Amino acid sequence: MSALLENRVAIITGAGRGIGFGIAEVFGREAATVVIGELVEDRGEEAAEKLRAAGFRADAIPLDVTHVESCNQLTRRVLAEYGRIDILVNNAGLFFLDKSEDTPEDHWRIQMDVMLNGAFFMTQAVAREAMIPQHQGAIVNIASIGGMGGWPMRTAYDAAKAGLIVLTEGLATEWAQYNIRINSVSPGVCRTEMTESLTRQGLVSLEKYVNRTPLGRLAEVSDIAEAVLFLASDRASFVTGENLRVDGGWVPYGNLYALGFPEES
Amino acid sequence: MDYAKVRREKKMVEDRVVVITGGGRGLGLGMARRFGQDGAHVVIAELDPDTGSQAAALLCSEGISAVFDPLDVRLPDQSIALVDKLVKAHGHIDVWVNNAGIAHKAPAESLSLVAWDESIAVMLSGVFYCSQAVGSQMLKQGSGVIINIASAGGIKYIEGRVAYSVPKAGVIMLTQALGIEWGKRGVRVVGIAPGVVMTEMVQKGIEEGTANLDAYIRRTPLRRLGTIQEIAEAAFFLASDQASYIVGEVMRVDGGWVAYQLF
Repeated sequence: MSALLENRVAIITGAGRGIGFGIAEVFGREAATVVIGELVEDRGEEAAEKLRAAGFRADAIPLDVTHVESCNQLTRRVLAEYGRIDILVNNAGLFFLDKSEDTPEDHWRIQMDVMLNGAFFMTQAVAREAMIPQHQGAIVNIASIGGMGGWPMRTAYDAAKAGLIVLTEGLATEWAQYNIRINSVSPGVCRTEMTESLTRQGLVSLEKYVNRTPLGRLAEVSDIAEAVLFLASDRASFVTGENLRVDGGWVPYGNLYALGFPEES
Repeated sequence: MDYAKVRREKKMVEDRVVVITGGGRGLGLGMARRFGQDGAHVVIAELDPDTGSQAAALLCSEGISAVFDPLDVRLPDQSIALVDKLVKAHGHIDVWVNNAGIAHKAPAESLSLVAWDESIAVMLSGVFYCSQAVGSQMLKQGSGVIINIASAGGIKYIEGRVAYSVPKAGVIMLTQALGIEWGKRGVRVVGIAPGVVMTEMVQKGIEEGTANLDAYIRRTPLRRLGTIQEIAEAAFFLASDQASYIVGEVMRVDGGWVAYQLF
């Protein structure tokens, strides 16, 4: 079986850990050149080093998606280094659990800034500088089941992710003429450093999430990464504007015997 | 992580038994070919014996292990009998694709009730009968994937397609329902919503003047029709272990059709 991303150059934002790093591993396995855009420089370097140690082509470049100039700089650097950009994965994210009446302004703004505004400006830079001139590209946005329905105390996160889903649809229709495909993946609750840290802090109960999931388990990072790989590859050449749920059946489940949310009990 | 091992495991089990309803032509035949090329044994379950046996013979000539079995999905006894027969022969059924379809086109006020009943029987009740028959077996196995072929037409409506769009919309909820009921027991139920794909059915519509190729292309953001291979590739992905957390989901493979709020 030949590698799916041979000769492709891929940027993954926030790929120093969690789902982003999982995507980087799978892309590396499929022979892509992986550029990790990471806010925390050491974390990005370490991740790139791990990928190189596994025999993959990988690089880390500092990136703060909340600054348009940082998005532009990273894009220009990747182009100068590798000559093209085939794939962009907007993965960078962060999460605060807040009662909406008490949500501090900075919590609201940073979640919008990273996951919606940041994804847009990163996409804009890559499309303008590389994908539109190339007449070729694939973009995958990491959305969330939270962007597909209401969920207490997660208003900012969910609104940003919902925005990202429609952003995906809009850009898919606008840039299809340039042969750029744009899709999103909506993961269910995934076992990552982020969710495990929330569990350790006693803010959420992973067990309750498991019980709420029709498939009866949490998502693993590889479940999400393989879906992103499919959408980013030529195997999905007629897929654009899609929001692929990788959620173990979470969203369509009506859950009559709801146990309530962990933070409410 | 042992990456070499992960890649090796991506090769599907060689003795997968894959059943495609309406597998004699169009999307069904394309999906049969894709699974067959991976080494699966494919069963062309088809209403029309000539179409079915010709398709199986064609695939065999390409080196694929394929057989034809007659199936009218409207008759539950037939899908039960086919499942029994295949289990006796192979011991397991791994993938079942509910693909059989029929496209009646008429204004809602004058659509014949025969056409309505037939559409519901083939594309909604038939999908349930087949899923129940094969689902019972897959639950016993503790494994299996059912793929339902829905349609962009089951999400966005076009005039004159009431007989087609309503059962296709029903099949989307059926996919969610069965996905949720059976997911925990190892049986994944998923779907695909294709946009307009260049199949014999669409080709015929264009030739007969009931379908407008230019309009289809203008309406599709990617500005072309999909290919049979592109739908087959999506089915192949959804059936794979790489999609093991995808349950009750209907993936659009439509060139952006549904996302596009055309004005």
